[in-house]
Amino acid sequence: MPTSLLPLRAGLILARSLAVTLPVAGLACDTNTPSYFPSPAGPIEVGAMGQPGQSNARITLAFRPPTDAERSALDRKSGQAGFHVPWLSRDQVSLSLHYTITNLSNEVGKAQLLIDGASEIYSYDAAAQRAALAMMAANNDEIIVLSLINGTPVLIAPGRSISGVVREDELAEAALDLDAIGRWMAAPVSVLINSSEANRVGLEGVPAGVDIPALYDLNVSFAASKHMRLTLLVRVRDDLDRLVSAPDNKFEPQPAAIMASYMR
Amino acid sequence: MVRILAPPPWALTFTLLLLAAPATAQITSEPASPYPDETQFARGLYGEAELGTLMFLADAREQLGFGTALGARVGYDLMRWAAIQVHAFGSTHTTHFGDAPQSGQLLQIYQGTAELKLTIRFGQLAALAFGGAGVARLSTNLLGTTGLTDPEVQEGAVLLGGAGVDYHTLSRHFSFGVLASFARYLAIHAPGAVGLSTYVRYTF
Repeated sequence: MPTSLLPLRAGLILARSLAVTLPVAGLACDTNTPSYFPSPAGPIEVGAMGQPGQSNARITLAFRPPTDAERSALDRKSGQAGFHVPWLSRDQVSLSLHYTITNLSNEVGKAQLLIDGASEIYSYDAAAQRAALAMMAANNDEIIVLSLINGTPVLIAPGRSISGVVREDELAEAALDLDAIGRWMAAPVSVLINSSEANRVGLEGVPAGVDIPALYDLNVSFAASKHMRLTLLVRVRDDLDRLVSAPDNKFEPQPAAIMASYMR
Repeated sequence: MVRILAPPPWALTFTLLLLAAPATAQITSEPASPYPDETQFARGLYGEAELGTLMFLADAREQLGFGTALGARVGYDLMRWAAIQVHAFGSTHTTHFGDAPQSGQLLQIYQGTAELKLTIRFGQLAALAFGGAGVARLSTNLLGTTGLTDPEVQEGAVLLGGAGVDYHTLSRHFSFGVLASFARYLAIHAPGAVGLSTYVRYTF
């Protein structure tokens, strides 16, 4: 080969190499890697002088809406199945909630997290239910309304922090419970107390093979007996890469509120 | 009667002295070794595989820790002392942000760069320097939630340079070596990162 053609040959080889390596690198970047979303309001503090001992943080995830073709496909699947097939399926969207609680006081304090949320079909807000039921209560019976996830109260030493994770399987169970209560008339106490992995109590009305809607909105209630700070981070894995950062083009369902999950 | 004439003793002595004359030396020094013959080293298209670590500087060093890094290069020797190459490189890190919930997450950094490499060979050893530019991508938006990048920024340009030492095995196609590099990731709010790696190279 003439020497003058060597640079041309090298360029062709490098171009071919790039054509192979860059798509591979691109695929490696998108193999279901997670995205992270902090609380939009930042860390929340409760229990300081003049502050209530309880506060809420809400994190709503932004997904792109379905295209016309995808909407038609969902309608067709819904018609075939006989019930609504969600755009955001629990099998395709996995959430976990990472948190850190810091005791800012100089005394030992107790903290607890309660987690509610919404799917694209139903929303569940235990605090709103408590308030509504308290107004309707005709006697002094204590009203207990369970959240979708009821964290165990923890003691935190002064100046110390604890970190924890509400795992993907726990939030997936919460999505199942919400759907069972909302769509399939499950008794709230039955499904919220029982784990579907251990038994199917309360889930008898849920059809086999039904597509469970994923939670896309989390409402975290933070209660503490002392001055404490909560920092939240939601970790999301979306198999179909539908998360968006542009707020002007996001999926905005109107889930119906559930108002019946109480027990006396 | 036959009389035998014997040579005189001085003639015998003279003959022996002639035969014992010193011989002239034919080899005056060791011949030059034909190895290494650099002209026999393969040259042209080559590929490299590297394994090493990537460490960010300043605050990011603790936050991203030491990342295990893998890389591959494909290049072409334009001349004995100059080559162009494309470099795919990835490192994986475990995050440490103190008590923050961002701690303990896995993060990968992928990058692709085009580089120019200059080499000076000293027999089997060669000193090399390289530099280039390209694009880096973070596997997640995690750093955007900590301030190490702007929010939702996962891609940015990367500039890098480095030096190394190459050792040729005399097996025509194979050499290996060590590299040290510095990379500046424009999307990451850190002075840069130092990489150390070893590699094996095959020249076709």
